[in-house]
Order: sequence, then structure tokens, then C-alpha cells
Amino acid sequence: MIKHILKIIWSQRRSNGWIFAELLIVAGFLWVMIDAFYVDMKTYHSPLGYDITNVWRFKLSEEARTDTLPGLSEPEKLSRLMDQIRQNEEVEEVCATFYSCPYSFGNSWRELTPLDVDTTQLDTRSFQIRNVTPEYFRLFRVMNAEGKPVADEIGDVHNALVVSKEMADLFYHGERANGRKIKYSTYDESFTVVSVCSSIRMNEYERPEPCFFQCLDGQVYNTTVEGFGARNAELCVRMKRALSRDDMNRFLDGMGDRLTSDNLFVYGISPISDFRDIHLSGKEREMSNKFSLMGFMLVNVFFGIVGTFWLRIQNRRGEIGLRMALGAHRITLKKYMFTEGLCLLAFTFPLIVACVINLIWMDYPDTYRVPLSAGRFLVTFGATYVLMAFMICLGIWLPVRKAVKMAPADALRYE
Amino acid sequence: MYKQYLKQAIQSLKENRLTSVISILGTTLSVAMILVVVLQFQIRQAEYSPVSNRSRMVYILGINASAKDGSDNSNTGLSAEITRECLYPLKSAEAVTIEAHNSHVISLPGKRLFDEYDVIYTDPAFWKVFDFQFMYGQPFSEADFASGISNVVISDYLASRLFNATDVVGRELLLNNLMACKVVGVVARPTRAADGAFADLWIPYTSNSMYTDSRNCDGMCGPFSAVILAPDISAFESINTEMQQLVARYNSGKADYVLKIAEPLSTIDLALGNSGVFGRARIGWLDYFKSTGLVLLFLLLVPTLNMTGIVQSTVQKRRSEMGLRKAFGATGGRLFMQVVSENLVVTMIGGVMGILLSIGLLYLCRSFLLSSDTVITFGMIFQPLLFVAALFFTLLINLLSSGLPAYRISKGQIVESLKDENK
Repeated sequence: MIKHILKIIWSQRRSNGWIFAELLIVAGFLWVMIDAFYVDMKTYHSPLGYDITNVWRFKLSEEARTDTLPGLSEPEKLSRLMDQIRQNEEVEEVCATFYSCPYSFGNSWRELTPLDVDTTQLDTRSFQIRNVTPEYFRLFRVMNAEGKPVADEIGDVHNALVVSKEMADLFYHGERANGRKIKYSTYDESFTVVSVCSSIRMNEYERPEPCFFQCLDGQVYNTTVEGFGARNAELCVRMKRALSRDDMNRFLDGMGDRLTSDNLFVYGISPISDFRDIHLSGKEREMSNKFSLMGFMLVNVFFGIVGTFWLRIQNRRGEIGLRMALGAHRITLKKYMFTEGLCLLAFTFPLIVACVINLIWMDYPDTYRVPLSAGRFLVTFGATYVLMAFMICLGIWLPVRKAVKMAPADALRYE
Repeated sequence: MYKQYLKQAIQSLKENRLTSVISILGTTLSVAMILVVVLQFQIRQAEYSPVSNRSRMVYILGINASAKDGSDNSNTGLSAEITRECLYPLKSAEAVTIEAHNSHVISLPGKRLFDEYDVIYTDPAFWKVFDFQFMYGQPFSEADFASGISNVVISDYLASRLFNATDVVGRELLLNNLMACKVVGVVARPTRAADGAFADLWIPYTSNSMYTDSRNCDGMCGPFSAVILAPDISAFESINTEMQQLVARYNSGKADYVLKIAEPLSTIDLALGNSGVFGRARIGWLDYFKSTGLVLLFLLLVPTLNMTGIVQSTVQKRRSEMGLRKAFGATGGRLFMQVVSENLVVTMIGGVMGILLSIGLLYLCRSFLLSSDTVITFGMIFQPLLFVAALFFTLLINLLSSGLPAYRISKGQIVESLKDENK
């Protein structure tokens, strides 16, 4: 049958040429759209490296001192406030960060030098630093590369750093990183890597970049809090259960004086998810616009294919009639028509592959966030052709159903 | 003659139901998507309380202050000082206001609360530029402003959140648990789409020293943006000229820094995508069409290609008819017009449906197309621009989709066309 169909397609190459060209353009467009969609979805759904459920950010402010008595130092104020909040039984964990909270726009970078590796092969470059108190890892459920909590590995190590998987790979090429020493620009002392955490991403649309956490402990904690000021700390609080805004307001009301430590006090709260919404709003808007355009394109492609195949089948009613008169069964006829449409589609495949290779050559598809892989091609080409096949079948099914219902005598009249 | 075309068009619509449906839906969708872009633009110009005078407003969102010794070059907001020297004295403006946005926790005396609200620090002219609907009380006065008394206007939303009532003139509240304020007026809460005017509390900026004394870059840099209400649109030019003169005078008295203010932006400039940051190239209509035009072209061309195929095959079927008409003396131009105007029936139906669909789409997708809580009103949507755009794009789609097939058939040889009749 296929051979017969090929012959017919060839003999009608003039009219088929148009349809073929249309299929080609549509399939090409569709692939580009589906590939972009695949990259976005794949990136969006891969793990972030931290978990923000039930985490609230407490915003701090300071009252002007009215007395002349010496108060607590900045680090003492902050530690005391954290302890007071942690004591409440609704609270699971409290941590403080400086310009390093998830979904904040905090973005500090430092140049790092690993001490016990051959640095001649490393380019000097900066890495994002996150200044966090050690409770951060338990609070945000940060796991190490083996899937165990990072918090368990920190212990009492002095001057501890937690590096991300990407950074460990970059520095140590798969060798054990724990216990290694690193120096960086801010301090004279060296720091010890205590744990390698899983990939950390800025947000749902970014790919993980090498980064590290500076555990704020002991002297480093004191210097950092002194430097930034206690009121600029991002105080993150994880509650034991999901609470509504009103529940939280009641909770804060109940806390009363414990939200104040010396002249430092909590003036307002927001769930981290609010910061997430702000952080992602621009990108989400862009995505929604992209999806609307893609939806528009798909509907049009559908109309185009249905329309073309409809006209094609209508113009060939005579041929259908002849076949029926010569004894072709309805089911065979339908099968024949569907196969013909799908054959035409199949011919576009090699050309589309050539196009895609060309696009990759020009570096058009996003290979930064999701690398090219057999799986990616399988999914994107699969989705493109399943969608196209579905639309072609629908475009053929509607008119063929009517055409084969005709009596052969009627059909022959169209000849 | 055109009546004949209309009859014929309707007949052929009935004959090929599916292709008609596809053509109509294709046009509908295309027109609708284009109109959504138009509507977005239109809604940003729409005038409603508190922005009923939008078309007469111009905005200064940023300034440039550069140190004469080259050590500093800042693009920031305005300071109160610049406003006093260069904007308030403007004679060609009807009103000049400046505003700075912030968010504060608002509590009651004796009861600490933790929710934050949007706050605007401004001046009494704000209430002249923006026409708020006062439910109770009145704006803070010139006297309040001059002596820095923290009398505030709040929205009915904030009033009911704090006091469970809206008639709260005379009541007291606390900003950030520190600053005691007295409510002098309650207004209906504006929508977030009213750019620049949205907040839940408005307070004279003189009540907070952070806003009055700015010593950064020789007193030029500050947190404010300015909105100037012109007596009419033609005054924009003279406002700019007068302002530049004031800036020049101001600069002559400054030792260390030079102030530059770009020409103020109108509402249309903002809708074109200007951010108002000093030094950023100004986006004009041409640039706008260069970026948005590509999207529009895409929205136009894809369905047009589909329709060309359909028109082509329906026209092909009628080759013999066309040949016959030609043989009896119809000119090529006439046949061209016939095909195009018959197709116009299809596209017109699509155009009308497109208008309806665009409104539906805008409503469904308002969360990402417009500011989150924009209330879409009848007046915002049904404006001449929408219909003019709809008509224009419908005609364009029609010409693009039926032009080529019509041209080909009108240029065809009589003999060729007639040959089909005998087949």
C-alpha cells in the first residue's frame, strides 16, 4: 500500500508541494516552540535546593535610643531576638541572613581561592556568597549531594563554609571536598569546607551556578552583624504548620515584648512566598505572553492543517468514488487517506532534522539551562510530530467521514 | 454590483461550511490578538478617577546629577530642593506635585499591628493633579504641609481594616509604630493601574525629615518623582522650556554638581515603554513599532497564510465563472475587486467576532496583561481607537489573504479559464 501511496503522492507533486511546504514550515515552528517550552518546564521543575514552605521573613527596625546607657551590642541584640522567637513552641527554626535570603535581590560576590589544589588551572572568578547563620540549612532544608541534611555536617567547626555541588566540582573535580581549606578576599583567615550541598538556584527560571555559604558563627558572626547592622538582617522564621496572615498576626500579638530586644524590634512580616512572587513577576509575565503566542500559533496551525486537508479530500471525491466503485472497503479507504497524510508528514522529518541541526549550529536553542541530549530531542521531536499527526488525522477524518458515506454512484459523478 | 457580490459571498459561505468556519475563526483570532495589544495600550490612556486628567499630565521620573569634577554621576529621583527651585515655580503648569512611594506598617495607638501598606509622601497639589473621590473629610491643607503636620488621607480599604469603619476623620494612627498621624480625609481606594496615585495612605512629605533634607549630590538626589498637570496638551512644550530655564538658573548657583532633567514624559510616552530613567534613549513611536510591530506582523501573517490557501482553492473552483465573465468583457481590476470584496464578508464577520473575543481575552488574561487589580470599565474599552484598529486590521488581513489569489485569477488567460468549463 505504501508504495502505491508514494506513487500517487509523486504524481500529484504539484498540489502536494504546497501542503508539504506548509507542513514543513509548521513543523519547524512547532519544534522551536516546543523546544523552548521544554527548556522552560524542565528548568522550572528541577529542584531549587531549598524549601520555603511556612517560612516567614520578619522585618526589623530600631527605635532611636532615648537614654544614654550603653545597650547591647549589635550581634547580641540579634542573637537575643532570635532566641526569644525560637523559644515559642509554634516556631520550628529561626535564622538570620544578610542579603542572602531566598528570593531577595541580595547578590554579593567574592573571589575565592582554594588552598590545597593546583590553582594554576583555575580562572580567577567570583562566586555568589550567601551570609547565613548555621540554622539556615535546617530551616530551608538544604541537603548535601547524597541527600542528607547539610545541617548535620556543620557541627562545631570554626570558620565553616558550605559550597554548592557545582563549586566543589569546579575546584576539586569530584574528589572529596569536606575538610579542604579556602581563602577569600574579605578575611585573612582561611575557611574550612564542611559540606557540599546540592545545586542551589536563584529562582525557578535559572540554572544552578557555583556558589557558597559563609556560616556566620563566632567572630565572623560578630564582624558581619557589626558591619551590616542588626536591623538589616533578614530574619527568617519557619513555623511548624501553615498559618494564615491573620494567624500570624495573632501569633505576633501573643509574642508581645519578645519581639523586641533592646531597641531592635520586629515591625512587620511577609511570607517568603510573597518575595517569590515579586521576584518572579517579570518572568511570569513574559512566560504568559509567550504561552499566549504559542497557543495562538497552535490554534492557527490547527486551522491551517484542517482547512488544507479538508479541501484536498473534497477535491478528490471523484477518486474516492472510483475506488469505492472498484470495491474498496470504507475502512480501507479511510486507512488509505490517513496513511497518505501521515506519509506527507513523515517526509518533512529529514528536512526538519536538517533545520534543527542548522539552528544548533547557530546556537539558537537554549543549551545553557538544559544541555542537548538524546532525551531532549526525543521529547521535542516526539511532541512535535504527535501534535502534527493528531491535527492531520483530525483534518482528514472530518471530510473523509462524509466522503465515504456517499453512495458510489454519487461519488462517481464528481469524476 | 456589490449587492451581487454580497449575495454570492453569502452563498459560498453556506456552501463550504468548514472552510468558512475556519476562515472566520482564523480572522477572529488574529484580529482579537492584535486588538488585545491595542486595548492594553488604550487602557493605559484611559481616564477615570483619580487619573481623569491623564492626557494633560507629564511625568518626571528621574534626573541626572553629575559632579563637576567627574567623581560622581547619578541617575536618581528628585529631591525636595530641586522641586522647590525648578518645578513649583513653573508658570505654564496648572499644578505641580511630587510623590515618593514607600511601604509602612500602620498600627493604632496602643495596639501594635504588623501589616504593611503602600504610602505616598506628597504635597497638597497632589489632590489637584489627581482627582480622588473624598468619602469623608478633605485633603491635608497647605498649612499642614507648610508646618509639617502629619495629617493624612487614607483609603476606605485601610480605614475598614484598621477601624472597621470608613467615617474615621479625626482618628489617630501610627506609622511604623513611631509616627503619630491624624486622619483628615478618607478616599475611595484607587486601582493599581492608576500609576503613581495608588496607595492606602497619603501624607505631607514635610512631616518626615528623611524626605525634606537631602544632602546627597549637592542636594539634588532624592526619592521623588514629579507629575505636572498642563492646562492643555499644547502646553507640554512650554512647560519643558520654562523648566529648562529654571534648571539653568538653579545650576548657576551650584558649586559642585550639575543638574539635568530630560523632557517630561507624557502618558503616551510611558505606554510606549519609556522608563523615565535619565540617559536611557527615548522610545518613540518608531521604536515601539519596531519591537511591537514584529509581534503584530506575526499575528497577522500566520492566519493570513492559512486563509490564502483556502481563498486560492475556492477561487480555483470558480475559474470557469471568471473566464466566462472575462470573455464577456469584465476587466481584470473588476474581477480582482470581486474576489477581494467577496472575501471581505468573511473577514468582516471575523473582525466583529474579533472585537468581542479580544475583550474576553483581555478580561481572562488581565492578571498578566494589565496591573493585577485593574477594574476594566466600559469606557476604557469602547473607544474609537479600538474600532478604527479593528477595521484597519480586518481590511489588511482581507487584502493580504485574498490579494494574491485574486491577482492571479484576474491575470489568467481567458482560454485557460474557459478550458476548465469543458473538463
